Amino acid sequence: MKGFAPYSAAARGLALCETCRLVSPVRRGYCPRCYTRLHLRFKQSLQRTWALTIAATILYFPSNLLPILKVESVTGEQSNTIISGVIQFWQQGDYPVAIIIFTASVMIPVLKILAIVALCLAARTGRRPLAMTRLYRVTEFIGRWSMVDVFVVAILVAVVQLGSTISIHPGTAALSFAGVVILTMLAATSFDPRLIWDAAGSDSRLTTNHG
Amino acid sequence: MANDQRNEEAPLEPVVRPGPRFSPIWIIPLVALGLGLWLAWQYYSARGPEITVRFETAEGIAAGKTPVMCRSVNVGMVEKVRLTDDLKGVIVTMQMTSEASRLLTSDTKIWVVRPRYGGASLISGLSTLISGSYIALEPGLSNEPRSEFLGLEQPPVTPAGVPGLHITLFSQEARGLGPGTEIYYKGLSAGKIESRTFHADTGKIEFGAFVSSNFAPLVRKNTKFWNTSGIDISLGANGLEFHTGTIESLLIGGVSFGVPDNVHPGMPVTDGTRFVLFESESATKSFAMENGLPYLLLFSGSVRGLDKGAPVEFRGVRVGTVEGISFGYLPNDSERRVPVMIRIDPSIITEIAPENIKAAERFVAHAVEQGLRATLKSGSLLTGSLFVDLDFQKEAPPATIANIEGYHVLPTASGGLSELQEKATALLDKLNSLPLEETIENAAAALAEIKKTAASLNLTAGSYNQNAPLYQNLSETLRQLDETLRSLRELSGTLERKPNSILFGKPGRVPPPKGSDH
Repeated sequence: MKGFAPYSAAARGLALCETCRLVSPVRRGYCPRCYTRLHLRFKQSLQRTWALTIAATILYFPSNLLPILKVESVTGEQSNTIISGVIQFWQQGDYPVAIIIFTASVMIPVLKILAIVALCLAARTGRRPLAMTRLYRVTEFIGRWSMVDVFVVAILVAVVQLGSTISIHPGTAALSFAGVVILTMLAATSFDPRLIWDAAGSDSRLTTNHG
Repeated sequence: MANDQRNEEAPLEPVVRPGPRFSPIWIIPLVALGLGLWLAWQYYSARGPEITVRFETAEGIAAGKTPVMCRSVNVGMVEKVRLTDDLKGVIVTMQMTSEASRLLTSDTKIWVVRPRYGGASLISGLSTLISGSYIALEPGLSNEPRSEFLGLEQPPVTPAGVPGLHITLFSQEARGLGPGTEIYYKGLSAGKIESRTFHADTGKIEFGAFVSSNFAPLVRKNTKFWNTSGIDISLGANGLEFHTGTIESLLIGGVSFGVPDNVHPGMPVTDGTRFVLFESESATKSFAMENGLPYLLLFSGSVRGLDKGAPVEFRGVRVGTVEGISFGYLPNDSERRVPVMIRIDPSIITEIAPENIKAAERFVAHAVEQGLRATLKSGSLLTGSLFVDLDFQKEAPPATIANIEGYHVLPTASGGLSELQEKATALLDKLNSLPLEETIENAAAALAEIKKTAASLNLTAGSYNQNAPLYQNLSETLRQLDETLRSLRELSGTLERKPNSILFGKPGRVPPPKGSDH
């Protein structure tokens, strides 16, 4: 069948129920067991992934440019962006902390966005499908860990509230940073890795190995 | 394979229903874009203009930490601190908030609030001991926007918006006055000294002063300002006088003002008017030298007793002050006359606006043509101090104001002590020329003659001595005369009582009959 990898279930008109995982002919329209609508591939997978990735990219800028934490103390108000925090830790000699924050908060979101973009392109071109599938796994795994920053802010804001002595408020960047993380996670889940193999088509490992 | 066979029985062609062309998922990036734009707009709209301020030192200022406050409201943050190109100051770049843009006009004042101690009246910024220094900004009144400022090293004392009068006082000595010193009117606090600047070229100290609007109408053209720091003791015609201000002004100084008695207050003044700051209240009664014209006097005699600050008087009224006595004024004078610099204010004598220097100079020049001369006169016989007296002299040789090396030279006449000296010398000369020797000889002869006469006189008197025979005879004669007179009185008494006794003789003692007189 055109558009699907040969030897794939879709090529034979079989679809996986997204709810109960029963494989049944897609022609029925719905799962014979749980009556969920059947789709050969995730519905509008590429479009959704693109849209969510672009949204995450947009929010990435304010999350890094705006202050993420506001500290009000007797000595005045102080607001820090992620980068200024990293620089401060680095200058104070806390290199591991600086590296962790930089990796988790600055690098990982960028890498994730780049990875998803690469996956989307691969779903079109079908190049190096195996490597791309590995990349997909890593991307999905990493997703949940990049919320570290948001957790830190949430905990600090909740714990450090000592009235006029010292109190911490979340900055506008905290919200957009959470948005970046959530959107990249959603983008990763809405991506259907089978599309890579569909695009790979005749070049796929299955064809070369078994054809 | 069986499985494959079974699958192949199923319909091979799946129904591929193309979904709608655009998924509603695209709303999410649109929302994100909107959110991002909104955040950016919010951030940049809250960011106001960036300004640079030059300070002498960045003590207590830290980039990214020091806030900019206006009336304790945060209006900005220090962004960058760097040295100026000439390394003589620092330039502080501040990121202001958007609402601060209206505060940044050409007369906005910016200074650093840090703990300060400058005398009891000037303890300020104590809160910054804990909170750290901050930059304070005070809006001006102008509408002209500005982004580069010169920071004040001292905080201004009075806010710019407070209604009142800003004037300038100047004096020769600071005497403990400085920013924050109170200005009093009749013991009430009427304003404050705001700034103190020393002008090295004129040697004067200028004070920027503020008088609040309640008291501003009392500051007139003829108002005098004086220093009430310390105690003013004067011994005058009224006895010992003792003046002090409040205890506070005694400790930290103060300035008072008022219009002297019997003086018209004059016109109200405008901002920036200059006043002399007198060193005491009694000094206000003397002379204000700020409007004085400088003149050089050249005295050929000694000026011993004439001091800097000595009065210059016209017919007993003080019109000026001796500013200096130095050969430095005219180092090349061949006659080595003593140059004395004076400063006089002709507006005391005649009706000339103090600003009209040309008219005042013309007045003096005219007066000199009429015979005005400066002379040195003795002010006090006790101390021998001299003063400069200006007066018209009828017999003075004609003279004009000379211009020697840029100085206006007022002609002088010898007078006072030096005139007296001259007259005394003339008198002595006259005495010298008298024929004294001859006169003395004559006198000696006359005296000898007198001596002789006196001796003979003495002799005459000596002949009337008690033991002299003449005296004895004389007293004998007198005694006899006395006896004769006594018997004569007896005779007359007898005759009165008994007139016939002259015929029948004396019948002896007969007492007068009683009651015969009745």
